[in-house]
Amino acid sequence: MARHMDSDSASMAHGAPAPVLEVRDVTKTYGGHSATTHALNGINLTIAAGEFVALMGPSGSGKSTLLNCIATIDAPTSGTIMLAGTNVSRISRSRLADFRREKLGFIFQDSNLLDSLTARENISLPLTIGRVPAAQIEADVVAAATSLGIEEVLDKYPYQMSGGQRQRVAAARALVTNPELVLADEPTGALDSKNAKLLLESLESINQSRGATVLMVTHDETAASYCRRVLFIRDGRVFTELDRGSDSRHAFFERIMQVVAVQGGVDDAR
Amino acid sequence: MLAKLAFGNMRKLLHDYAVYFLTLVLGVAVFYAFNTMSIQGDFLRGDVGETLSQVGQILDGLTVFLAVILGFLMVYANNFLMRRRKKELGLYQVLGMRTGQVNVVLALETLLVAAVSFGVGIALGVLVSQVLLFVTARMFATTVQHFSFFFSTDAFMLTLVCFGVIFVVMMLFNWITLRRVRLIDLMSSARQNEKQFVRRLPLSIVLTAAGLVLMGVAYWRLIRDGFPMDNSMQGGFIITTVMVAVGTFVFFYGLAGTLTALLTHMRGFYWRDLHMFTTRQIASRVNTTALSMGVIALILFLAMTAMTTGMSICNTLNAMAEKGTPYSASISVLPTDPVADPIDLEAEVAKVGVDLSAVGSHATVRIAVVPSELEGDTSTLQRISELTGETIPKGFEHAMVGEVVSLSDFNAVRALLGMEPVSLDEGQYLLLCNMDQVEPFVNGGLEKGFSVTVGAATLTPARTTVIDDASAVLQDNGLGANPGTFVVADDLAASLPTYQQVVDVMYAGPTEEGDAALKGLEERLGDSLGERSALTTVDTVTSVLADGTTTTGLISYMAIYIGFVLVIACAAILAIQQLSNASDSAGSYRTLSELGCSERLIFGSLRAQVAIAFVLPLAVGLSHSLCAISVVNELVSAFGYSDALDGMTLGLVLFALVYGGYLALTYRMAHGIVRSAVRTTRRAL
Repeated sequence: MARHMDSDSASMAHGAPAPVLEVRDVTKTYGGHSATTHALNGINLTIAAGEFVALMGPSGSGKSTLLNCIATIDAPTSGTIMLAGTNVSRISRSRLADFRREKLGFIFQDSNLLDSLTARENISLPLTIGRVPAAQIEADVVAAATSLGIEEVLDKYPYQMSGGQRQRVAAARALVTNPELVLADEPTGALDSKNAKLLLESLESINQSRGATVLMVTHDETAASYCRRVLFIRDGRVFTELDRGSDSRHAFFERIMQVVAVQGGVDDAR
Repeated sequence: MLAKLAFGNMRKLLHDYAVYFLTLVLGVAVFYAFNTMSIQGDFLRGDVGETLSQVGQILDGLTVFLAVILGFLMVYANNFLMRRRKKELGLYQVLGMRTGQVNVVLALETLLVAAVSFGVGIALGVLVSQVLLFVTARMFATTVQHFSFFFSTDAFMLTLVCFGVIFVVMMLFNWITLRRVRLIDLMSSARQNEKQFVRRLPLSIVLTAAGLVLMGVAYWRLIRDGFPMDNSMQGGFIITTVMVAVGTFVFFYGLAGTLTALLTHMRGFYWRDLHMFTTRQIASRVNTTALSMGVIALILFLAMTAMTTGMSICNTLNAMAEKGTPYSASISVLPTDPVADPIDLEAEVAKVGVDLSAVGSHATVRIAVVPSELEGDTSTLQRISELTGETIPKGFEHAMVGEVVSLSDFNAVRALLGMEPVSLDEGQYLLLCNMDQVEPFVNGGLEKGFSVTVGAATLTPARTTVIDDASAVLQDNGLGANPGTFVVADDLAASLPTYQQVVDVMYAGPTEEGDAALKGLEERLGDSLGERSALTTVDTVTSVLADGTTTTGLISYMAIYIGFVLVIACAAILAIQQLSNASDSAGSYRTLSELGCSERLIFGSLRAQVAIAFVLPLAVGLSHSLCAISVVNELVSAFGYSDALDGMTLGLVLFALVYGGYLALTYRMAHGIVRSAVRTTRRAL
């Protein structure tokens, strides 16, 4: 943890590190003229390389829409999203798949592993699609699996694994290409607390050991407390954020709870 | 409310499984169209009409047989769809619907699908049958005399009954499915399906190898033994059949594991693009559908063999009829007692009032038989075999080569055909033979100076080759095949009793006049000779060719009918399996797309999956039928014609069109399913 802080302060010394993700004045509206829904309302946020950020918000706050836009699965109505120096709305449809594969990694709530493939094959998918040589694939897959502690399930099929193992296999699949940004959508949503803890510790460790940048959407305060920074989103914009600083995880958890309580109070007052 | 639900479900079914619906419609249409055969005769010449009503009766029987097969496949397809709908049926019950009400919904659905497909099918069938009338007319070499739009109540009723029974059976199966399963299983059935069942590798390889060996041995046995000619070979043939069937199933059971193992070891291939995914998808499907793949391979085998051999037999029969009719007409008589009561045929014909000289030129052939051939000694072919050391060609083991005609009679026939006369020296014979299969074998004997004993004389061959031109056919007949006839000096031939006497006629005037002059001769001659003749026949070119077209017409219709129904049934099952696979795997395709897989790769994988699912059983079926066809071809060409392959090509082309059409349609629809899955945003993200 200290090493992480050092590297952070080191990069600070050279000025602000180049942001991996920069979201500027992004809006997204649904529906026609009569009943327009503003899912995103001019949202701004920046995530630097090596950060581990949580995105929290109640249902309908726009966090899923934002994630879809960042993931290049959906397009914003206005505003720009810069990912690793590229404006994602400028990427042609034909290049979009390549871009997703090279720059992004995904972890979903339901692991979305392919049933017919073993863990090893599931993890290797982004590499085989990218035509990485077979020998290289083997090494990369084992490295990713080791960093998530799932070497022993590599030759099992999804139905032979526990929910937690499946989720960590999915995480390994997201990491194996060393993407600029890992997007995790409620990764602990379908897990019991023990497996959720295991997965979050894994994410925390790969964030530190491999320097992976992770953006995690969650509504679980415990999950958020593993992150270095928490963005609270409401009505389509960021309404506040918390930095963990040197707090212990427990202390950070208390602070998050306070914000959530205040948010709830505001809702109640309305 | 229940009706509304059923109606909605049917519309969904029609949309998602249009191929299934299409097959029902095609099935109904073909059943109806082919069963209008009897009524088609009303529009054609009288004698063709009679023939057609006989053909129609045979096709009726065939329809029942095909209905059973089609019914079996449709019930399978229906059960397959039901299995996929378990969750939906469970949901109805969770929402408080009673089992009885769910049954009503299912029954209504089946009824609606049946009604719609039956209605559309009959409409299509009525149209097809109008076209078929003209095809029939062409096939029977006649014209439609008074065309008017027609509808066959008989064909309609037969189709209605067949499909009615099929739909009732489907309904019963639906009810049984619903009764047997528990609610919890219904609701969790989707999860159960995710489980991959993979066989152990060594077992897979052993199974595949065993399957291949069984099939190979069966092929070898079939090629060695041919089709059973008599009862003693029946048992061996059944063993061969069982071996090929078992081999096919065992092969498919082991294939998935073997294939995966093989490809996994091709690292450069396996770990690139979506090859890994495609392999696993196919392997998992082959695993769960090994049984149906085996059944489909065998049915395709049946369909292809029926279509191609049917066509080839027709071609051969047509060619044979043409080759077998060098004369305008042949009058033949077999005396009951050739020794005590010989018959002078020309005189008998004159006696019943036909003046042959007025009809045209004619020649008489008196046919005797080499005594040794009659007395059950070693046959001529066996003795040739002993002399040359060659084995008798297959199918000719029991052929009789021992007919004898005199040189004068033979030269008279040659003169009738406008050919040069042949001559013989003392102690020599000539041999007539025009069957390609046996000619080289017999020529081998002639080269070695094969001798034959006729009466007191032992004769040697005058030539080293047989005479195989038109004069080798001594009388008009539908086959035109003569395995061997000896031509000997007149005095030798006269010493033997005449077993058959033939008068060949070449008309002087037009065919119609000649035919008219000989009309009724067969009956009159038969009445006049009475007990003196064992068999009296009058064959004209016209009558022989007409008999031929009846047979070939019937065979063509049966071949196309059987082939078509079987092929659409198989293709429909494959299509339904592929479409449900595509929709089952929609989530996987979406995940692939989100992982950054291009649509080109995704659709490439889909194309490979659909193509392999169609090609795999086809390849096995084709391999079986190539083996069977080669044996059939050998058998057919035994009659002297080896151009049977032309007809087979036509059959295969027809087959490829139907099967390929289903393949293309299935891919288009699967493509649609996957595209919508890939392009729809995941709501949960």
